[in-house]
This record gives sequence, structure tokens and C-alpha cells, in this order.
Amino acid sequence: MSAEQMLETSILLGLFVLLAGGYGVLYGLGQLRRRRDLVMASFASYGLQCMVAAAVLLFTPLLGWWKAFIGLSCALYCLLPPITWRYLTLLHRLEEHEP
Amino acid sequence: MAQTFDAGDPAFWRAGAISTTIVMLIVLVFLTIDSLEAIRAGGSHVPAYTVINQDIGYVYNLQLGYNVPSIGKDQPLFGRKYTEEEAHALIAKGKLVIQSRACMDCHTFFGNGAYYGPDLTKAWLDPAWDELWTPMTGQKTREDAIVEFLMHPERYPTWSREMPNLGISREEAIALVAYLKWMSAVDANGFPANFGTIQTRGRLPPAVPRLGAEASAPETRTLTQADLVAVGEKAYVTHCGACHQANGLGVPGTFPPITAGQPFSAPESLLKPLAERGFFKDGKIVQGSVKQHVDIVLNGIPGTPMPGFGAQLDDTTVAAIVTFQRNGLGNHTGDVVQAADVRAARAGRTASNAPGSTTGR
Amino acid sequence: MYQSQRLALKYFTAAIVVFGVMVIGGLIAATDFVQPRFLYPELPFNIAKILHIDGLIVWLLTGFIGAVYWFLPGELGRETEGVRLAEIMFWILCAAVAVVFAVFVLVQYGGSDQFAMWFINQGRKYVEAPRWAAIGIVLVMLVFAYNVVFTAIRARRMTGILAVMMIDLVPLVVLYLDAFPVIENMSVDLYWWWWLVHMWVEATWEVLIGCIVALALMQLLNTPRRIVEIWLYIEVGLVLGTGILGLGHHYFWIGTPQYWLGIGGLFSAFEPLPLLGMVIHAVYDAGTQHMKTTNQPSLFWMMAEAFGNFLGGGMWGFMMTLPQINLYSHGTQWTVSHGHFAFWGAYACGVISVIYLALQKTRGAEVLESGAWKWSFALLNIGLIGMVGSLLVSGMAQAFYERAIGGSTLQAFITAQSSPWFTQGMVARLAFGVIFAVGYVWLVYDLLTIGRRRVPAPILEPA
Repeated sequence: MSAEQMLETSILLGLFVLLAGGYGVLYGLGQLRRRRDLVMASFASYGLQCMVAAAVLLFTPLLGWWKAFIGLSCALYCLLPPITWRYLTLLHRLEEHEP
Repeated sequence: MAQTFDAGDPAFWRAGAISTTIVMLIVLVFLTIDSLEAIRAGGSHVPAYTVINQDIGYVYNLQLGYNVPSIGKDQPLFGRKYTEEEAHALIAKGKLVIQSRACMDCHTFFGNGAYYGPDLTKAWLDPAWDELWTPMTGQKTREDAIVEFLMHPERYPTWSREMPNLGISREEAIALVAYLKWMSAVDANGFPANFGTIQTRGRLPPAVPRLGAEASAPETRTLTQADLVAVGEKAYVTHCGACHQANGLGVPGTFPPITAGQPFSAPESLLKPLAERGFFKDGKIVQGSVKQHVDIVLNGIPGTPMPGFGAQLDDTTVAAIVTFQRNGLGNHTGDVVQAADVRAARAGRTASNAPGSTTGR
Repeated sequence: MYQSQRLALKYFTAAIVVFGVMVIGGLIAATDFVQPRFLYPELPFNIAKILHIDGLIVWLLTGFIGAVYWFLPGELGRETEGVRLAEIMFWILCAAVAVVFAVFVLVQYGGSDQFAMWFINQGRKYVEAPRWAAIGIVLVMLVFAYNVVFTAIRARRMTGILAVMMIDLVPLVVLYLDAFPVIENMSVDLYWWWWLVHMWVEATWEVLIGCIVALALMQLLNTPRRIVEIWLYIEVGLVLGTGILGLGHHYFWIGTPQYWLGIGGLFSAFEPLPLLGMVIHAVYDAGTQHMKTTNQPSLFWMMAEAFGNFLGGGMWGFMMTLPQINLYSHGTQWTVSHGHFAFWGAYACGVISVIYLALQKTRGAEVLESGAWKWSFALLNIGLIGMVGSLLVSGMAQAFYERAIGGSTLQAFITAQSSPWFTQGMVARLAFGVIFAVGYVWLVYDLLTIGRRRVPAPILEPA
């Protein structure tokens, strides 16, 4: 990979993680405060994350299985914040009923 | 009865944490056993200590896609061959020197350490020893130059960031040289990438493609001044700017300005060779001849920090740099240097008729 | 207040003092990059750097130990066992650290012999302290472990959090044994050295700070114990599940076999996951309280911990962990950028948060509040993020010019590090470092004064 590609790829990878964090945090905040705009913002963050993943797949010189890893993680990550959130609320509800 | 997942029971997650950890640890243990076998001296990735008796290189492996060490024929170190015990003793001593002086708190080894000084993984193979320090220290061989440098680093600075004197004795310096030579033969999966090799000029072809390496078809076109200046400006910043600065004004007392007419004061050991080549007069930098200018860029000035770039740069780049320096940075000579001129200069220059060469003294 | 908690306050004081030594070392080292003749040759770069990174390890470790001594009696309902011995060890530790640092500055190095290894400087990063001091550190840690384990035995009680902590202490102490040997083969030396460094800061320390944060959250936000425990197990499972083989991301280039590029890269790429979990957890807990507690400084520093850990360790790490990129970023200021951000987020913020929690009880304040904490919080974080950003710029320039284009020779090193991107990044880093240092002074002032005057309690909304 060229020097320029190295910098571009690393920035895309950093954005990938940042936007994943954005999805998780905004989703959690949105659910907590019951604010649709925050939840929508979280989905937007995830959408951007998918676009970044697409850019990694299409424009970077990473090897096939690294690209597969990024693509698969992005796809599976869709479920992570909602599942985590449901589990958190379930735990807290259980706690209220049987502390 | 099937085990149901009780969401609220920490025991489920505790079991998960414990089992995950155990599985990962078992895998790590197996990999460790395999890796330790590969990295012991004489293993698949790390050579025996007696490799210090051999010629070491760094060659590009097409199949792997990166550089690997090459271990060649016999090459005595300090004029002798070391037995297994002697080599081992040298390496052990060298490591104690490295630790006692906390080298890793300025330098990196395999990229590990501190980032003030350069990485030392392939330091044994650095072109700077032949091109810079061997003439500067007045030594005959690379290893002697390294020893002299390590014992008195404050005498041979090449940049504004200097290595302090660490009280390294000759015996310790010799051990360090052996350590660096051995370490350069370790297969580090291609780190550092594209490291330049010692240019065995005229005897062997270069082992790796160099920056701007001359293709088999040398440049014969006549390029315009504008083209040469455009290329030369970029090349100047990359190769010359470190010392002479992007604005061509140099560093007072250390690196002379490129701009003619600028005053420059420095130790006599630097002013004398500059004056001999026609680039210094009456306390100022002056414009010397094109021939001397090309010679300085190609071959450096022995006995000073100015290195030769002939091994690193092709004829077109050298021509471009000289043309830029003579028509930019405050200079306006109108001189244009072509690649053919540089090629002729390489061919015509011999050690005995170069000014300031040690063979003449 | 328990004796153990009084000892904790001593440890916290020592931690903040050594934090100051770290800042001084950092300022000197940062200045060297901009003005290489600064204090040269009396205090060369490597000595300043040793003060900086060893100060870092010592202040964080003393902070952790203090935190455990603080929480332990409350967890087990009784005074810590062997607390008098622990107090003696504390003073021995302080004396040893002072002597070691003084020798670093005044003697600096010895000859290539065992005397230097035993009494002056062992020269391996983070564990430069001479062997006599390393023995002392092991003794302090053994007494600490004895305190924790035997208090639980005497109390005939165990909690999930304490169990995790105690099991974690075993590798934490055992790994430190790598601080002793001189291994001549650099590849083998680095192989084991990374067991110590990685398995400390990316494994056992993560587990330890997880336990400490769990204890803190129960007090700060009244999070129920069961939830805190479940999250702790999930996080420990993820941290160790990714971090144990994530160790391989240090085995790309030290001479070890090629399979480490795949294994290390893959597991390392998963390492952000537990950190993301901690962020979501923190957001939830803090969110239920609408970001209002009786101890705002502790809360804010806890949030800084969660986000800093994720961004500094997770995001910054992910940028540089794939081997194709790491080949060029390895051993550059990019690494330094990641290191500063990760250590700050993962550990420093957590320790500061716990200190504020302890101060609330110590000063007997119903509500712990001041003007100064906000200033020091802002300055320290702005200073740190500014340093991290500047180092990223310099580091990317260095990876680009020195490694990718230049091939890492001396000439490439000089050229790359003379380039404007690099040098200006270093100047900016120093400027932000000064801001950070000012924030530190403000922090000290606040820690000395907060809670000494009564502040009226705010009306807290129900969750």
C-alpha cells in the first residue's frame, strides 16, 4: 500500500469505530430520554458507519479477509446497541421486582 | 432438563468470562511455545550469534511481498572471525550496555522504545555509516566508524537533535556493534519496510530498489529550466530541507545557506572545504561553479556532515536539485543542469582528483 | 473512618504528587523535541522520559491501591486485615520511589554490569527501576494482596467484585517478575516484556479498573450491585477474550512468526468492543440520574473515563492496529498519541474520579462542589486532547515520510522529523502540554480545598 493509502485507510478505520460509538451512545441516550430525534441521530450515525465500511471495501487496498471482517462487523453491529439496551432495561426491571 | 438462561443471574456471565479466559490462555500457551522456538538464537526467525561473521543484507522477497534479511558469505568483523562463545559473550555484553545506558528511552529496537532517536533495527545497514560517519570519523571500516561514534557521539553530530556522551568504553562499543549487526539479521516480517542498503558502488547491484533508482534507460532528453526547477523544488525540500531548511537559509553555525551572499560562520573544518570548492569567501556563502556544485551533491564533503546523495538519487533528480538551488532560494544564475551532465560527472570523478579527499593529504 | 481509608488517602496523596513528577518529566521531554539543547547534556531526553513514563506507572498504581484500600472495608464490613503492616509498606514505597527517581536524575547510568542493574538503571521501558527497588515493589504488592485476601477470609464474606479483583491480582503480581531478568536476545526479551506491559494495561489493569469503577458506581449513582456485577463479568469476558490474544498486536515486528499478524490483528480489532460496552453502561447509569449527583466532579471524571477509554484505546488503537498500517505507524509519534489518550482515558480519569468520591466522605460534604473542579477538568482534558491531536499529526507525518516513503534510514528520520507537519505538531503538543500542566496545578488546588466549606444540597429529581 502506498503512503497516501495508508493514511486514508487508517482514517476510515478510525471513523468506523467513532461512528459505531456514536450509534451506541446516541441510541442509549435517546431511549433513556425517550427522544426520537436522538434515536434517529443514532441511526444516522450507523448509516454513516456503513458508508465508511463501504469505502473501506471499495477504495482501500486491504486484503480480502480484512474487508470481509469490516463488512461483517458492520452488518452485525446493527443489532448490538438495541440488544444491549433491551438487556439493560430488562436487568433494571428485574432488579426492581426482586432486589 | 435444559438449562434456561436466567438473564438476571450473574453466574451465567461469570461462567462465560471464566471459560473465555481459560480458552484464550490455552491458545496463548501453545502459540508461545511455538514462538519461543522460532525466536531463540538459531531458530527460524532469529539467527545464531555467529552471524556477525557474515555479510548481512536486506532483500525484497517477491513471494512474501516484503524485505527479509539475507545472510551471505564470510565478512569478518573488526578484522576477525568470532567463535560461538565469543559471539555469545559479545551479544550478552552488548545487551547490558543497551540496558545500562537506557538506549530504549531514546531509540527504538524493532520499533519498541522511545521516539527521539532513530530506529536501530537495521542500523548496521544504514547508508549513513559509509557515506557520513566513516569520512567524518576518519575511520577505514564501518564497524570502526560506529565504535568511534559511540564513544564520542558529541563530536559527530548530523542534526540538531544530538546523542549525548554516555561514557561508552571501546570494549562496550565493540559489543554494541556486534549486537547491531546480529539484530539486523533478524527476520521481522518486513519491518522496517524498504530500508536502504549499503551501496557497494560498482561491485554489486543494489539489493533493493532505492528511492529514485536509475532505470536501465538513462535520461537523455533535454529538460527545460522550468521543468527542472519544479521537480528540483520538491526534491530539495525532501532531501536537503532537513539541514539547509525550506527557505535555503540553513542553520547558523551548522548548516550553510544555499542563498549566495548570506553570511555564514562555522568551525574552520567546515569553512575550509567550502572555500576550496569555491562556495565560501570573506565570511559569506558565494555561488561556486556548476561542476563543484554537482560534485558536492553527488559525493558530499568528506569530513563534514554533508553526505553524498549519489547513491540515493538518480541523475535527473540531482540535476533538478542543482538547477533549483541555482535558480531559486534567492539565487538567479540562469544555469541549467541536465541529467547527462550529472552522469558525466559520476563517470569523470575519481578519488584522487577530488578536492579535500583524504588520499590527497 | 476505617484505618484502611486513612491509608487510602495517603496513597491518593502520593499518587497526585507523582502525577506532578510525571508532568515535569513530560514538559522537559516535550521541550527537547522543540529545543534539543534544553538542559542538555545535564538532563538528556531519556532521563526525562524515564521520569515521565515511570511516574505514570507509579501514580496510577498507587491510585489503584488507594482505591482498593478505600472500598475494601465497606465491601466486607470490617477493617482491613494487616493495615498496620500496610502503612509501613506505604512509607517504604514512598522512600524507594524517591531514591530511585533521585538516582535516575543524579547518577543516570552505570557501567554494563550487574551493579548498574541492581542499583542504578535497568533500562527497559517502564521497568527501568533497579532490581533492589523492583524487589521492594513486589513486597508492597504481596502485602497488598495479603491485606485483600485475608480481610475477606476474616470477614467470611465474598462479593463478585472482590472475587474478580483477587483473582486478577495474581497475574498482576506474577507478571511483574519480568522486571528482573536481563535477556540478551532482544526478540525473546521483547516477547516477555510485552506479557508484562500488555497484560498489565490491556488486561489485568482493565479488569482492576473495572472492579474499581463498579465499586464507585454503586456509591456514586446507587447502581444496584447485581447489575454492576453482571456488567463487570461481561466486560471482563470481553476484555480478556479479546486482549489475551490481542497481545499479538505487539508481535508483528519483533522477529516472531508471521501468524501473529493475523491473530494479533484480528483479536486486537475486537478490543474496542468491551470499551464500547463500558461507554453505554456509563451513559445509562449517568442518564438515569440526569447527570446530577451529590458529587459532580466524580461523575464527570467517571464519564471522562468511559469516553476516554473508548476513544483513546478503542478508536485510536483501531486506526493503527491492522498490520498493513502498523508497518508504517509502528514506533512513531502516532504510537505516542494513542498511548497518551489511552492511559488518560482508561486509568487516569478513573483514579481522579475515585479520589473525588473519597474526598466527599473525608470532608463530610453532603454535596461536593466547587468552582475549581470545572476549571481543572476543562484544562486537563483540553490539554490532553490537544496533545493527542498534535501527536497524531506529527505521527502521521512521521509514518508517511520516515517509514512509508523514506524507508526508516537515518536520512529518512532526519528528513521526516524536519518536515513542517512534524515540527509544528511538536510545538502544538508542547503548548497543549503547558495547558495540561496548568490544569494539574488547578487540580491540586481543588483537591486540597474542595468540600471544606458547606454547599447547599440541590433538589434532586427522581430517576
